Amino acid sequence: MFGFNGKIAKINLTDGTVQNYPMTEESYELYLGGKTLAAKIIYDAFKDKVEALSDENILVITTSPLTGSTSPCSSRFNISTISPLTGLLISSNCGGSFGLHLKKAGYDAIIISGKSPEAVIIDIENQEISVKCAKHLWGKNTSETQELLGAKNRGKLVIGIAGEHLVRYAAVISEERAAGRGGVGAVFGYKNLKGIIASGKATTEMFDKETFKKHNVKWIKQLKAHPLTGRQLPMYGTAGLVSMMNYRNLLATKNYSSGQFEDFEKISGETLAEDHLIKNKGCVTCPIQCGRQVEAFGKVVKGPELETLGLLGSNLLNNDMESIIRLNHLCDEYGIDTITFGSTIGFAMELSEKGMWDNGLKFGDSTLLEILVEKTSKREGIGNELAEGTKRLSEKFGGKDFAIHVKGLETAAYEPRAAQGMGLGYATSNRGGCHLNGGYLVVLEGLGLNVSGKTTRGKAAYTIMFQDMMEAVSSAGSCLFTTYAMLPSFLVEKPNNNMVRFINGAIPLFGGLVGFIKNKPWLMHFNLASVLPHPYSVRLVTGYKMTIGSFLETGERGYNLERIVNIRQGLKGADDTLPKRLLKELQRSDDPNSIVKLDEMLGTYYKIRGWDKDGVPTQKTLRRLKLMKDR
Amino acid sequence: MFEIRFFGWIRNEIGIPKLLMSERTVIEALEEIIKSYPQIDKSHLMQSVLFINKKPVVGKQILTITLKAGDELAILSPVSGG
Repeated sequence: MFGFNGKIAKINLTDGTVQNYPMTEESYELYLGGKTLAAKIIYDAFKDKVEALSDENILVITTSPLTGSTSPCSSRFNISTISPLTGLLISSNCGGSFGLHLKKAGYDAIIISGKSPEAVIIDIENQEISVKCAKHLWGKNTSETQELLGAKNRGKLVIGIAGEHLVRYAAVISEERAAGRGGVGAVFGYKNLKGIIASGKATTEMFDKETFKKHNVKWIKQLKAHPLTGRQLPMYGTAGLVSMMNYRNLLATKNYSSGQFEDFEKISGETLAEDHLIKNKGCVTCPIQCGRQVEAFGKVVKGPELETLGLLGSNLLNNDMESIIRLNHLCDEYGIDTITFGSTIGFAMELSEKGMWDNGLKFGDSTLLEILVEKTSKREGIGNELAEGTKRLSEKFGGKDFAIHVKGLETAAYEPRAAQGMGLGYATSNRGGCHLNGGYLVVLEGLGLNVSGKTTRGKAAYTIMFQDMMEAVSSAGSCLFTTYAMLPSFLVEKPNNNMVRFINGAIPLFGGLVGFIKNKPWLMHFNLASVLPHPYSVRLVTGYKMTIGSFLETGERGYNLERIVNIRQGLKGADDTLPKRLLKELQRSDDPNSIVKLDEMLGTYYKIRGWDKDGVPTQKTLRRLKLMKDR
Repeated sequence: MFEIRFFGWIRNEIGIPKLLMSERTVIEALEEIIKSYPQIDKSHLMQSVLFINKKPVVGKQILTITLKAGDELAILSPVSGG
């Protein structure tokens, strides 16, 4: 078997036993790795709905065929489980080096079931797995826990105090990186699992090592030459988006009541670079190095990403960069997701402003925020309410119309009323309000290309294509930022060129063609490594006959499988929607089109997906994707 | 006087976040920038994304728009990503 260890471990924390989990090579080929392989394991694990915080729920930590292959930006890993925040399948992806270490430890994935009677860590070394007491680590924050674990040159994965207290959006932290979304850290906490360490010397065989090496050299060159991955991201990191998002009315501001923040420059990537940046920092094998190391409050710490700047900045009318850096640091230390935390605080501020919850919070006042990270993580005082997330707060205090979440997961910092495709993506994402799982069409709608964000035309087809592509890229083990290099440089760099303007205008008109091709992957039964290098990489590593068509089909298979798991968890088509604020309230009073016109896109989306009117994949679709026999 | 604000790598090239200019057209403002700041890549500047008073402006006709006192011209490098 090429590209994989061919070994998956199932660790039962109730009794400390370890078993091999059988996975056929056919399944590896169909699901590859990452979130898609995890969805397959979770689908097979249960017959009925499972409660997130229950002994029955499992954690599935997966690597991918490209993990450890030296492919650019391939050191990511995935954690999937049933989310305590949404009750649906969550997949949380993380950089750093843990995935690399897990694979070198001899496993493609580990499945963690049951619940330990006491605090433990899992230690994996060269296929040997032991469950060890971690009572001395309980109550520690994430950096201290990682330090106490010692063991340099080993992969580490830990929860903080928030995970221990079952905060519904607790994160898992690895080095400085976070598997942040959906509360995977709370599932760790429920299982009394403080962390995992892994290392080893296992190597996987490669199908065509020499060609792979040459392909990597070309791919790295391509990433370095591209204006997005070679210039913009290294220069400003993801924080570099703030300014453009503000001008495009895309920056979530004051609990999503606006897309522009008067003080955006104070929280921009430019300000971060000019006033705080020490150096760029990135994952192993990454030529982009989008991470930031910054100096603030007398310390050198990880710099905030765009999402954090948006949700803890503009969304709270907080213009204090130092405060955001400090909050970002504290959230990582306590182990909570900055997106959901910021969004929940924004909702709580609006509840307070409207007199619906007397909580002392006020837009523009950041003085209480730092203490709230601690109170939320420990579930003390109002922190106990905030630890439940936006959806549950709205069920208790009201305000559902302006509770900004989808299926229970708070949306990211992209305000979709100026980007219809992003709105559709949020509404249909399997994770809930996730920009990446939603297809990230905003990259066409003003952030990379200049396709109109106002039109709904063609957006359903493009959203599906991007959702499937990102699903496949993630399953292969690559960072999603590598997909930016797919956008032709001249389209990105020359927006004022007449031909480029014509192309931007014409892109929505080709939606029908994109939708037609989607259901005929054999039309793309070829590789074009200079455009989409990932399938060719998978082919060279695994020997599978991977083409652009079969790669996208893998993504589509994963997307549909996740949908089926969610339907089993109780998801209905009616859940594919957005909060009323985004559907009915104009973002700008002078623009009657500044709402998300979901009704104009959702039906077409279901039709192209091959789902029925209730959003359920049809038998024909499941058969085509080779999912039928699994039902 | 109107204000010109720079963002993205244009700002990195020019080395300042903003400057003030007296009344003139957009194209005259861009030409003045090229003249005063020779380190800036002309093609980058001409392909930058422009916003006047926070509204996007596109097409050649915008170059003839006259910027007046109190206006804001924002010049952003054409790409972002994250």
